[in-house]
Amino acid sequence: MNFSAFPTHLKEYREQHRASVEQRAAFWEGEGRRLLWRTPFTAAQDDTGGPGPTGARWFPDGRLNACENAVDRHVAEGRGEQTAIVELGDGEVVRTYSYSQLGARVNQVAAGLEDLGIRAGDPVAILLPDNASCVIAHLAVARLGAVAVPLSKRFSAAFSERILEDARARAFVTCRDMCPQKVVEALVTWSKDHGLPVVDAGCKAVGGEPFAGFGIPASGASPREVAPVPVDAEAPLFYMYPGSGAAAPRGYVYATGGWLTQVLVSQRLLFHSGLTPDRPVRMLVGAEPSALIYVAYNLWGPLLAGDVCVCAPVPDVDPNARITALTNTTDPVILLITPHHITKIREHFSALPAEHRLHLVGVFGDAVTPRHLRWIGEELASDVSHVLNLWTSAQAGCSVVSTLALPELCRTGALGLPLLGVAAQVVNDFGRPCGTNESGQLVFTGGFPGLARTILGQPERFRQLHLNAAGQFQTNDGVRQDSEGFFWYMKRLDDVMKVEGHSVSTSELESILQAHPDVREATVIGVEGGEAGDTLVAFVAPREQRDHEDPTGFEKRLRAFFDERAGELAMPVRFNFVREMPRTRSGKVERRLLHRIAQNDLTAAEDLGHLANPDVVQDLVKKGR
Amino acid sequence: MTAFSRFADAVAELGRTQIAASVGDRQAQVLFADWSRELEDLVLEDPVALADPGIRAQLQSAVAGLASAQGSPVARMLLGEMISALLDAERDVQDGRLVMERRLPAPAAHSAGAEPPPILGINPAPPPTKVPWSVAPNKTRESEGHIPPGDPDGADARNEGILRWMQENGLLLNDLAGIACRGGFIQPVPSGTYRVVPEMLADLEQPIISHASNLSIGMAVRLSQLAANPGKILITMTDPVVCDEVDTVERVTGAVKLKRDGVGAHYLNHKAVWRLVASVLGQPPEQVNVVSAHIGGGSSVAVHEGGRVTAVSNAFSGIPSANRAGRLDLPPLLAALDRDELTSKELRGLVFSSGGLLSLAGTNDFRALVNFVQQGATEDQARKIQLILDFFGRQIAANVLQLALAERRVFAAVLTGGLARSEEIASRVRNHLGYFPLVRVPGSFEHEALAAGTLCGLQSPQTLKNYVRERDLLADRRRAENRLIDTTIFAEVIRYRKHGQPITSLDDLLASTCIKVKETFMPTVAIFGADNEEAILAAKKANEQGQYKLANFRLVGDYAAISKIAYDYDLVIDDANYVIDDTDNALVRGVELMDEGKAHIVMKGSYKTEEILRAVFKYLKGSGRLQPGQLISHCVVMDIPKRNKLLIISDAAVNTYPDKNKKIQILENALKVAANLRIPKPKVGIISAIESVNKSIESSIEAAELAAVFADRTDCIVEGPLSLDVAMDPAIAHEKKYKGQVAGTADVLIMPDIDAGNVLYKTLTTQSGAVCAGVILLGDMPMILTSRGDSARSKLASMALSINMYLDLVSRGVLPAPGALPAPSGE
Repeated sequence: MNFSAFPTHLKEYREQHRASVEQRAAFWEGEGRRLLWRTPFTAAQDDTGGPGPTGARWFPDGRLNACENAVDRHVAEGRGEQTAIVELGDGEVVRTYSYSQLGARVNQVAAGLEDLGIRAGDPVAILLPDNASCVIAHLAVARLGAVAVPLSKRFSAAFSERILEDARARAFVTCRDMCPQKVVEALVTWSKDHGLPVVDAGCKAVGGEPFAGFGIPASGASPREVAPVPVDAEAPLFYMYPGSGAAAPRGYVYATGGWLTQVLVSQRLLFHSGLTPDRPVRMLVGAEPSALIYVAYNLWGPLLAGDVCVCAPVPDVDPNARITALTNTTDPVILLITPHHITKIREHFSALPAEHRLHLVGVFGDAVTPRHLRWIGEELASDVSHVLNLWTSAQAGCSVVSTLALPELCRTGALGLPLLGVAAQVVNDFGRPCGTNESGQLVFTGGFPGLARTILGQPERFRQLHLNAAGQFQTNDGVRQDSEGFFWYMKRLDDVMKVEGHSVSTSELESILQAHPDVREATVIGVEGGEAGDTLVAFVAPREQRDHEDPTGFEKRLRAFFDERAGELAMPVRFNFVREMPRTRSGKVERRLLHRIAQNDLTAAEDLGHLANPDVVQDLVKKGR
Repeated sequence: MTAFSRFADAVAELGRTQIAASVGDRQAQVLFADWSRELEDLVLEDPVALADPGIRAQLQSAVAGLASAQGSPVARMLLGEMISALLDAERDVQDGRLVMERRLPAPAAHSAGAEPPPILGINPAPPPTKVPWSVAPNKTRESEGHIPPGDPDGADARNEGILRWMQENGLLLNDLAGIACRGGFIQPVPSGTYRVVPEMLADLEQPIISHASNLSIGMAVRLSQLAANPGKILITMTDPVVCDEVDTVERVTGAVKLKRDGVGAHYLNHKAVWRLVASVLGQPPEQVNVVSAHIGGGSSVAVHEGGRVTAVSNAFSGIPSANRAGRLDLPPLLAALDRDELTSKELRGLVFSSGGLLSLAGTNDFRALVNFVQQGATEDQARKIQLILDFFGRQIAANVLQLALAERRVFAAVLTGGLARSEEIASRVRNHLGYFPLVRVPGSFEHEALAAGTLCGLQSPQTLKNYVRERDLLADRRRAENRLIDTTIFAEVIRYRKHGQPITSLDDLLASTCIKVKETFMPTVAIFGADNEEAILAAKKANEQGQYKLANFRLVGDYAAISKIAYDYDLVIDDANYVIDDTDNALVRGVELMDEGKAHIVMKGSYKTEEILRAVFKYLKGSGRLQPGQLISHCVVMDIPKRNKLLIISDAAVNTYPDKNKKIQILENALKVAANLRIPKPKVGIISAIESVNKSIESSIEAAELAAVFADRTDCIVEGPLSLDVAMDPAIAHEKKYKGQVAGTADVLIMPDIDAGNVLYKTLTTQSGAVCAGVILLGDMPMILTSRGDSARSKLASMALSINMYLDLVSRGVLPAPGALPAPSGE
């Protein structure tokens, strides 16, 4: 695999980034060509889907097979004996797969699936433990041009069943011994009741023989060759169902060509820059196999780049021993973990000898503070700059903003720089760009190939949820951008509340209310309750013409509108009508204040010097009295 | 027509040659005299000749030639005269048909020339007069009706008069193609011709001003309903008095509560004369910018810029007129109101009906006034009449010039309205306005303009404006502008202060601190536990309220928590002015920053005061910056309304029941604050319940002892025991025959214990509207402490006080200057 030289200096990087954004199509065309195409594409993108970040189709006339790119290609190019997967037990390597071995096993499973009737485009649900079986299953599904639907073991059986229905899954691949057994059992029963074939990978731990016998003809002969089925670049590779924030399952769709291109770019930029180019790295991601980041960086990313996927437990218990085992190799080892893992690791950690330091540590999931990153740099990783703060979101497809493992491209504590080809910006509530260091929301002003294409069956909802009024793709992360161009995380803009047993995101509720033609803006505030859970209070600014209408009548209409669209989401208990939202001088809705008003805190109107429109609050508080 | 063309040639020459301009000027004047004589002759001989296209073309070319010679003052003057003369001549032709044609856009003018359809115009004036009129084919007929005093007035009564008149003149209601109404005080809209809609009647139920013209819409609607086919009659309203097109700047006045708008001018006539002047110049009206002054019973001035009246001097607040006072100077007006020489009712009269000429001369009839000079005026009266005429001339010209800003590229001034007939006025205005051609169009063109509006509507209905839409759009725009004008910039008033003034209020303190920071360096404040809303808001305010920034801040604490608050409150973390120091333990890190010289002043954040004091105290002692015997104490500086200087109270927060030695230190610390406030020889009162030593009151004994300790000091006056009233109120001190120097003028009060101190301090802040600034002194080190209960002003003042003290200490060498270290630069 040829890794062209990456910029190592900030100025150089920023210039290259600007070029990659200004000539987006040309940049992505170049990146797209790194993949192996059965039918090469003629153009990187077309905007037939309409304007804005979600409108583009990427590599629209190209055809390719993901599995061929991740496995066959390496074998064909003479890397068949290179390690593809390493399974680690609690101290040693239990099993490895070379790319050739992996190819053979994938072929076998693909044959088995084909025998079950799985064809290109068929969704196949996967609920497997973190071992080679999961990687093999994904590759086998992709080999057939089918669509993987990863399920999380944390989902309730009922929620997973709804996912199987929503995705119209045609088969269910699992491991009946894995935990939580009750859930797995329930799903197996449900699948059988609904005529879904169930495939048991049959090994819950590492080192086992996954899919033993499956796909091998009854005669015991070796399985037949299943050729990789090329699909359109825009054909889905997998559906990802996030578990929280919505009461109903919501399947984000990722396109094969675009997503693979994006993952490969980030795999190279994040984990290979600063490395001697051709050395494969070992990747271990501390996330469940159903998480997007696992699928991206413990599966497709390393396989596309010819790196090594490590299947092993996260070294957060007995960290020194586990890290020693993990780093007992000449390959550079990369560990991606969450801040929660860091806290756990620190509890029982003692200093590591230099040779067992990790080449690179990436932090994902939650916000992480500079002091924790500094600790990683000083104690875990080989260098302070070898600590990455990875920004990912389910919708972005993979990490598109990150610090990079080079002294000039890393600021400890920063969220990092937008990766090449990604147009990211900080904007205020009105979609206008913020100045240097002014805080606002991180948005993507243009599309990129890895971006989720839609929500399965709900394209309108997808746009409503993720595009702001200015047509930018919103992340709901509050950030600032410093004078060097680094983003710094400040806060999450979306409150996820527990209401009546459901997780509800306030931004989702707001997007429903704002869809009403008579609503100019809406803010939903969660008020922490006792045992009853949280309650929701809505603040609604009607359009001007509605000023004179009787509020109770308007509220009734709004409630009906909300009921129709919100499904099982909780209805706000109270609607407050306001002329406009109280805003700070930069235009942010002052949620802290609304929160106090929602709690009937009548002192809320005392110090309003920082607001642009303090009179609005005085009105509200007066009403409260 | 030779004089016409000769004149045009001469004028063209005038524009080309710069040399011997005066010769050219003289020649042009002579030729102009010939020209106008010829025009006069022509009109006398055959008025209809002016309608001949050939003659009109020649006239046009003369005007065009003159218009291109704008450089010469004479050309300017002549151009004005020429347009005036031309319009004057055309006015009588075919009952004003030529003038009306000029008022119409080209295609409409052609067909109007062919056969204008019959239109009834309704222009009601105050009772007992009403003026209906009508354009029948090729002529205008005009009449006034009168309702006898006492008879009921109203739409129906007036309509009866119109119907009677139409009958007398052989006009049939059923023949009417349209009715043109004056409009009235409906809601403000941009200018133009509007289709009359029911919403107008609804808006007129509560008119902005009640006025006879408000009747016209109701009259027209009812008249049309009497016709056989009411739907066939187009009812329009053109350029009502409530037009409003002014731009945002014009909406502002020097009092934020009072906003202006464009309403209240004779738009119908302003717009008409502007179009006329443009048509004589042969240009689209939108390209001809003029200032028009309508002077009459009410007078207004409007500037026409790109087709809109972007600014206006309305009929009540600008030029004086026959009946209205116009602009008045406010201080004499206020004085007159204060002295009851003028009631608000009389003022209203001056503004609306009995001011102006009526007030100055006792008449609102200019002709009577001018004629009186010849008919028996005394010498003084004659001189006053000249004075009044000068006054009017100058006011009119000044108002015109006020609107003729350079960027508006005003081409000409137009004088119109009844008073424009007066040569006495016109000549004065002309003399003042040498900068522009002055076109004089006496009288008004109400009727022609109204009929022209309806005619245009009949020709091209799509040009008619939609009242509801325009009204609502304008209202939205004005609301948005109001919001902009009402936007708060500084919630608390910041007054400009000069350097070096004594500090007698907390505002002075803030200003003085800002200047000191600017002149020396910007210290860095470390907030211990910055994950605290109060602290962050205060830190933000510190750098946005004064003339300059006050300090740099190190926000010490948990990064995530601080970031969240910073995000919500728009605090800009720029890694210079505000830096986050991510740490688990802000006390340890904060002290570290002090030790490294990266922070200079401690500010309390989310930690408890005791915790911070303990940590800082330990550090200061360990590093030798706190001398043995120095004490931690709290001083509060009060800015009490009705008191002309600041008051320092100590100790109301830290030391609970201090003994004598501690009190000595408390007093020393308070004196440091006094010195910082530039109080040269502070007067200190040691407070007790009484002002003489009483064995049963312990505090009085201690006070006396304390005063004795300081008796020999020359830098301060310490007296005690003192009761609070004797220390604070000179009158009471006098009454109680107190002989000391403090006598009601204390600068510092040393309180007997924390209870008394705290009660006094809280009483003042909660009951007297006093604002306070607090500081904790750790020996010499000031520490900023604001509490949730403090007002925003008080938080800011507290910061200023500590920073001011710190800078003082550095400049006096008591604290090390941060010079050796990379000083955080005050940009």
